[in-house]
Amino acid sequence: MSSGQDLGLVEPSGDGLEPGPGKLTPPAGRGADVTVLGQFSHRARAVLVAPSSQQLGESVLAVLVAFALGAVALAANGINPQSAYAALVSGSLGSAQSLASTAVQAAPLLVASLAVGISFRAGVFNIGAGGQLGVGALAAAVVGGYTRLGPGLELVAMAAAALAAGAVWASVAGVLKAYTGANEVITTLMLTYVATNLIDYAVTGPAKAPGAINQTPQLSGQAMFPTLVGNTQLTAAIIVALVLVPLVWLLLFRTGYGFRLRMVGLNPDAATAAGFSVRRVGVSVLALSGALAGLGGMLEVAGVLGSVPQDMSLQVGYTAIVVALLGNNGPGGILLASTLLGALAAGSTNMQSAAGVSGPFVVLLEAIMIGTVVGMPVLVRYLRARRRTAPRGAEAR
Amino acid sequence: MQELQLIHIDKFFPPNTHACADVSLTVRAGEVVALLGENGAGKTTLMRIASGVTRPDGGSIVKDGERVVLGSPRDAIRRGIGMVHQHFMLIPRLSVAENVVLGFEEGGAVLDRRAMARRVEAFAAEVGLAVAGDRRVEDLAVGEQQRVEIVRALYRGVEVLILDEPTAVLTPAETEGLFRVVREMAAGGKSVVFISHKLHEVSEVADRVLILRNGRLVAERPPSAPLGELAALMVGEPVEAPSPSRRPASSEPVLSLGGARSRGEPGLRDVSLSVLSGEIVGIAGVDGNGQVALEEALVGTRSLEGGTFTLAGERLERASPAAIRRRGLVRIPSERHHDGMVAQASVWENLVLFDLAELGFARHGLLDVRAARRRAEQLVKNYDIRCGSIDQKLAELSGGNQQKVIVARELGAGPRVVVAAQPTRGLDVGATASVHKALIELRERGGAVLLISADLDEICQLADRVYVLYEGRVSQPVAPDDREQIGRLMAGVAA
Repeated sequence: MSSGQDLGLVEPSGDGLEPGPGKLTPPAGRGADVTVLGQFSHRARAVLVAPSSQQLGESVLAVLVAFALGAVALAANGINPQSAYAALVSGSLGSAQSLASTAVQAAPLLVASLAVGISFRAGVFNIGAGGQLGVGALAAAVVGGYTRLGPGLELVAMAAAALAAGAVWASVAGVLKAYTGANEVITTLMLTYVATNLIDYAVTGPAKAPGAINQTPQLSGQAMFPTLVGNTQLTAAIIVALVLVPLVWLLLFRTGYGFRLRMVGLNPDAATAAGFSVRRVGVSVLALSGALAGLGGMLEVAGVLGSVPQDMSLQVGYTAIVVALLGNNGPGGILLASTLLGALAAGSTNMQSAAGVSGPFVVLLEAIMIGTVVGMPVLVRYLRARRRTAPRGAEAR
Repeated sequence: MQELQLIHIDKFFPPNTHACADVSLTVRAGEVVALLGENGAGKTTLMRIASGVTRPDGGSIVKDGERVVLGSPRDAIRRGIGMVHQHFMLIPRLSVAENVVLGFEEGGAVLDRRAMARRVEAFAAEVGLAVAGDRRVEDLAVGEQQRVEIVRALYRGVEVLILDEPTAVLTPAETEGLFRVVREMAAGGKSVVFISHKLHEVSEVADRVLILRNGRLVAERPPSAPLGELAALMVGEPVEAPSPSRRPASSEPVLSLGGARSRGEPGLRDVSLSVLSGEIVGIAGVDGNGQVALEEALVGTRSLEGGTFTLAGERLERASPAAIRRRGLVRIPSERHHDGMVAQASVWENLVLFDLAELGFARHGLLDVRAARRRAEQLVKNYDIRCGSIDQKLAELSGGNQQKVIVARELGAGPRVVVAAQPTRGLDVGATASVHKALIELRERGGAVLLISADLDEICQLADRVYVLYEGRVSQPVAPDDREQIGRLMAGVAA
């Protein structure tokens, strides 16, 4: 009867990705102030905001896949992957020096990633942690460089300034989102460029240190964290960073605010129906995330740098996204993932000098990791479907 | 002459679900076979196996006397077997015709969209289905989308058409239309397998009724079999209908709307109604006559453009959803996946979703997780929610148990008024009975229930008074046993 009976067909197959029984397609365009994820499918929400329960396995797999693909890339460039990776490991874990260097690299990343993770949990995409970190660093450097408050208090004042600066910076995006609907992905990203230029202006003008170099005044000993291990850059800043891990966990899982934040992230419509204000959560989580990122900048300045240089890299804000996703947006996972990427950064110098691997190779590894960690749930389900295991279909229970 | 046989089909889902256990059945040409069973009985799995979506662990499939291995839905369609899934597999952005011919395009590299649309329309008319070829699928009503799915299957030469819970999303009128189509297809020599858990439907449309329970084929009955017998076979034990004792309600309305108007398509146009404490008031009507607008206006997510909204003597036209909740109005939402639950969160988190502050689980900002979990455990017990543990993700529960979670949360706090919108849509007999029981118990305790339902049986069974919603207006109250008058009002033919 039909004309094309024997032709090929495109039939969506039951690959286990379908919603459960009786799940109606939600009508489009509801909920005025839903997050950017609201525009994506519920599946994307599940991957980005609260990845599956096999997340740890998937993250480990993603890391392994990234290293395997990295080995292929190395070999294709005529470099022995084994010696390159050996150099990477010895440069990051091989000695007390290199371990300290890993910790130094991981600390700002950890704090920035906690900031990013909190916002992701709420379904808010703070892409501009780098910018918030930058203004936090600048605020801390200015307070530390131009005031004399005595030991201890100096650091507290610098931290307060950094928290406030980061919060204000991110709140620009938060307020724009709440009152004009501006997408925070765009605004936080753009504010990072503004932050770069603000730093540039400050260190060449009003906050320029005396002398030829464009940077903020060198911090005094009182405005720096004490060194923990001699001959390394490892300072007490790492302790502050580590203390934030359980604090963020408590906030997310043991406070009413954290509960609202997570529920809003997972289903803004249900949260609205429950009487939670999606808008309020969105604004506050951006402020909180920005404050944390700003504190990260303070730790970097008072722990390692000693001043804000003109060309301060805000790249850490983007790496933090990788870390947050690898770490399932949870404090524990983020701690592990930031240690891993910290080790990568610390070891890459050694890999460059000892094995002749180019610097951007580490960025390539990170890129592969983010691709695999985001793609992994789909890949895993595909492989399962191939193995003919249960599709999570209507009556598979 | 086609014939589909499933022989000793077995399907096991780890860790311990035997979805299909040694099921054998035959579908002959020109007949409508109903597969009746509760949610989780294995109906859908069995038919996913027959349509190549899922592979069986054991048994064989024979089509027209020849043993076939169906590796994919494509294989199945090549053999003339196609399934219309409960959730449609259409591409919303594409036109009807594009969806139908997708993968089947004729002609050269350049598609003549208009010709394609006309061709699809002609084909649809030939099989007795009206579709508009050039409309976008996303603009169609659910019933129309389903027609497109059927047309698409037939266009691909399907002879055995499997419909999975096809009426779950349809209005009564659309359901009637579907039944006509099914009977015409059978008269034309095609076979239809009709998956359902609604008794009156299967007896209306099927030639034979096969009953599945816990993965096994337990009986075959003619459609003329008494409904009580079919129900008993389906659930394994006789079901007793809740017997609502119609106790007199108080005379003070706890909830009332006066001349309420709202935006929407359709919105509310001058709606006046009242609900007394201790009564269930039904809102009957065909879907799409303002039910969603009414539901959202009452919970405060859609603002009123005029009229009054009074709850326990307090005017709440401008109140926020949170404020309305605090005053004791809760809701079982019609879009429950959307508005009622956080599927990726745990059972216990969903059970306390709205009550954190009210129940004192969040003191000084800190969450009292232990108290919240205790509360959840108790609700799980009281409302007979079947879950492995309260830490399970809600998404992993069956549809019926998900709804029980919502009902438990909403009614568990002892509300003044509950707005129950389509509370049993898509639920099986057991879950439906437990939702009804919860609503009746609330009434007995002096609570007020506004039951918005497209299921007239449900309204007539539970309600003390009935309003009919038609194009955004409500009728005068009608007695629930005056089905004729209700039917006329639903069709908009009575004054």
